[in-house]
Amino acid sequence: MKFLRFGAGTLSRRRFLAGFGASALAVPFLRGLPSARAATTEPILVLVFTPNGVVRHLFGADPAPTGMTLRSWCMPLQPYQDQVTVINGLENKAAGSGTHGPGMKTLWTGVAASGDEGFASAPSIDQRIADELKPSTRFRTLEFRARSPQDYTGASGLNRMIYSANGAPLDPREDPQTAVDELFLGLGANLAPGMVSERAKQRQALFTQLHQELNELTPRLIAEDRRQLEALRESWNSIGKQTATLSLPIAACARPLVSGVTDYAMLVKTQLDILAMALACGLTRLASFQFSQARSPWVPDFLGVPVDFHDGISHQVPQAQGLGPGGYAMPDPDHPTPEQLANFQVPIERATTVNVWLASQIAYLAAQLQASVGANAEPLLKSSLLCWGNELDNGNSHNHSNMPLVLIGGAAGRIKTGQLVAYPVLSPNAQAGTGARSHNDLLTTLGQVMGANIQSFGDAALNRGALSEILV
Amino acid sequence: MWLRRQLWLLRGAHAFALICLSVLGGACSAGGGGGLQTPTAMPSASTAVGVPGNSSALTKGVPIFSLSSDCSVSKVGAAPLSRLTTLEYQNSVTDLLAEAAPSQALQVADTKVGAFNQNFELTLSETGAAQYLSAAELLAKTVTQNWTLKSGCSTLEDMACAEGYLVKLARVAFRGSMLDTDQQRLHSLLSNSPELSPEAKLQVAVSTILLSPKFLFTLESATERGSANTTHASTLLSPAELAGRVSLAFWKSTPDATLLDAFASASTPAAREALTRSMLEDPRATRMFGDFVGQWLGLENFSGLRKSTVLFPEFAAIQPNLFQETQLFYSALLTNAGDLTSLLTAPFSFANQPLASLYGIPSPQAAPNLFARVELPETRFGILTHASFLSQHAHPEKTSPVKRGLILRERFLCDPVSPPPPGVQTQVDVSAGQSANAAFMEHSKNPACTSCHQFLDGLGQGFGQYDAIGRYVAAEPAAGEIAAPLLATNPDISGHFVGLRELTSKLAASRHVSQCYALEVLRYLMRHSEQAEDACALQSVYAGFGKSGGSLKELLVVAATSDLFLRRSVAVEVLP
Repeated sequence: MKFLRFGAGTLSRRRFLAGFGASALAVPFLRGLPSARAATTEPILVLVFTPNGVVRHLFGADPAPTGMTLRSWCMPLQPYQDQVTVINGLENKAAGSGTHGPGMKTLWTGVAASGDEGFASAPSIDQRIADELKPSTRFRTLEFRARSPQDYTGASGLNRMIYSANGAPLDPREDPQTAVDELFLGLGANLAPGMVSERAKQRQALFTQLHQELNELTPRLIAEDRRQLEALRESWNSIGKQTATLSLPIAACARPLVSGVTDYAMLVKTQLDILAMALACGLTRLASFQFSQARSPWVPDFLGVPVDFHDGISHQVPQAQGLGPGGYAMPDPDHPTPEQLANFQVPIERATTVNVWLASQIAYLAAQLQASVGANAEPLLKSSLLCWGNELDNGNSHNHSNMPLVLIGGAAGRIKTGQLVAYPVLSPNAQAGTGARSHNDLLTTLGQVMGANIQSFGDAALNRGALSEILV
Repeated sequence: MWLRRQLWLLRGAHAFALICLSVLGGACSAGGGGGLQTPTAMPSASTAVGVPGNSSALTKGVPIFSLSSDCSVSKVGAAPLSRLTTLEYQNSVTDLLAEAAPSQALQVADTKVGAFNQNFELTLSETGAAQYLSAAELLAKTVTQNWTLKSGCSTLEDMACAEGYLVKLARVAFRGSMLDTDQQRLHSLLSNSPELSPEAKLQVAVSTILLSPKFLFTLESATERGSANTTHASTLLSPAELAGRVSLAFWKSTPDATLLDAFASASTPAAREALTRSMLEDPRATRMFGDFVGQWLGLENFSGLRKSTVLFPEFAAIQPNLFQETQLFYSALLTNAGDLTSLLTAPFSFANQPLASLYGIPSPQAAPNLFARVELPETRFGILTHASFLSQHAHPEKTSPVKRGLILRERFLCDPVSPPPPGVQTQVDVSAGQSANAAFMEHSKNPACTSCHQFLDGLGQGFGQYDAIGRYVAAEPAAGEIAAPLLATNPDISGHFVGLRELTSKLAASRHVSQCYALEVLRYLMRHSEQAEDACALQSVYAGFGKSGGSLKELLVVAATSDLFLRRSVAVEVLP
């Protein structure tokens, strides 16, 4: 086997396992998929977000003699069930009594936040891991989002989930063509090989100019204004480093084609294809993928659901407090009675349609990684870990008692997969902040899986340490 | 080192003094919820994000309608450094280079404060910087490929000619904040840099201008320092800075060389006022009219609006043009001496064939998609009866008195409203034979709901005759109630009304509504929230607007010739 140097890792020769475990949907794309990952066991982490909460008895898994039986909203993950870990009973305590905004701002940061306005003020776990590991990949981390046509186009606390070390939200990549042009610069038609060094030289001259100007301006500004220029300086530095690696070959990369993005389904697929290729090429080991936004106003009309996800679906499903044999007095959202669900047939059907579709998209990403070759000639999914989260527990209660959290992928053998891990669930009626473990412990666990020296994450008081039931 | 006072306190400004702040109980379900909800503790003041430990912050950004203040010294609040909005970037590139802005740069996200894009809170992310970079490189390449056309220079090698063009370009692009050192750096780049070909040098130079903080951000404050111990004072902008500020406000773009020269020679207030008026006559101003009305009324993402194709099969065909009606109407008022009353009650509008059919009037044009001025039927009057406004503020399947009441409360009465508490069924089932308004009676019966909804539903009930896509469906005008605006010092609007016509007449007659409109316009033009130091200048603008009889255009002129535009804060502190 021939190896090419790239950064700290080595890349294997172009090779792929077309069709391996992939759905029919995936096949056209697989023809272009490389094998590319380094023959090391360094895992990949992808934080995945879907919005508007769940209905518990339909999400996650039930215990079974052989491990677990996935519930309907997670059934699309069944082909990879031996690499799925369903986690029950973690509370998002940092979100407090807040709703969508706090749920979003705390999901990956684990630091208390309130209100739908404003942004989080602390780093998300992927950024903390990057700070610890200082990855040598071309991109430190990559953020993607599939923004629905109804989503707010600007930045807000509801649509940003990844935050830098100093608490600034990172804008995700929302346009596939722009993402491809930037990520795969130097590959394929957009920049011929001979042009790469010319581009790098020109950019160097440009950054010299820009830095000179920033040096002149910075002392003239007050602190609050200066931070804008400092952020700019950091960006130019970081992009400068990426540009410097342009001349290094990434033989296994194939520039993904972007065409025919006419609806949300195509946008999601295209963005997932780009993410999968970026991971397969080793452009980064830390990524995130965001469907729509918290409090998503998406109208999934192409699924035959002509109402908006937030008002028209998630606010119509039965609330957690009302479900269970004892009704309001003894809620058990995992086991509602048929009578309790009788009035909710239409909203539950709609919520199921939308959430199963979302899960099938995550399964599609898993299929791409399964079909791509990673370390030791094994599917890339084996060395990957997708952590799928949501800003809410129940979409109508707006609580955070039992957060929907699912891990997909083998994490390079660093976690126990194929299991349902259940922590004691806090009663939805109990006061927040008691009893249950906080999802901060999962974030810490993610850090340790990635090999970062992280013993606690987010608000200190919410930490009890990594989840030993998950770690190998 | 100088440190201007912390205008950072603007952050979260509009979240202060929210309606419904102290409400207990969250479940306002009117049917559909099975009665399972229970009052749960609402997040106490969770959306009121003042700045801890600094109570003075809480007075900032609050609508100041008649604050008594010592106006003997000219004061204005500090203008934060802010990034161009997507529209401003797009227009600036078009006006500077006669090229369309590359799509990459148009994806850099804006951030809102209140209704408006005001990019001062967040720093630019790396993704955004990379997108500006790609766009600048593409534009620079286009410019050098068409070098003679763009620069007037005969060859790429003529660096003296190139420098002349680039300095002119930078002067306009930097909106009055160009420094001597900028020209020196350009000169040095062009005359040295042996590693680069002439074309590469020019590309770097053009990119440098398009990526300069002086282009991407408002950077007036960097060009001049205040002196020590002059806290709370202000200074006049230079003519070039003023031209930059007004062009960003009125044209959503850079000035041009002609405008910079005109401001430089406009030495009297009368001359500046005349300039300001002429800027509003310029076609570039219509970009601002359409942008403002879209952000103000929440219509900017109108293309994403969806309605049930089963209930409203006709909507998909009319949707692409609905917002155009509102933009044309608003621009027409601005250019034809329209006032606030006509905004709310005008018996005319603009329609194409599908829209005319929705409104039940004859089609104005032979070509079905062309818009023309139309006289409205009895059932339509002013901007609140536009199908764009009515359909945007409704659900996909049904109308929503709450959404319509909310937008009136926030944009016409200037009361900020907090989002619904957890566990609320935000959609109410409307049974057969029951009007939407009747279904919402639950809000007035349940005290947990009333505390918030008394401010919303009563207003929204005025729209009872218009369905979810803005069709006129009921002949019986609905009664409603206007709860007095909380933040008004002299609330001159409240009480019972019957039908939307009476509601709009009451809005049009209210001095508070007129000041609220002026304040919203100022927030948009200034690109940041008002602060306590702005009180005197705000009062003068309100007075000027009132004196003009509520003329929408005069408000813009009064604003641009007020201290809010002419001055900037130089409040400074000396650090030890």
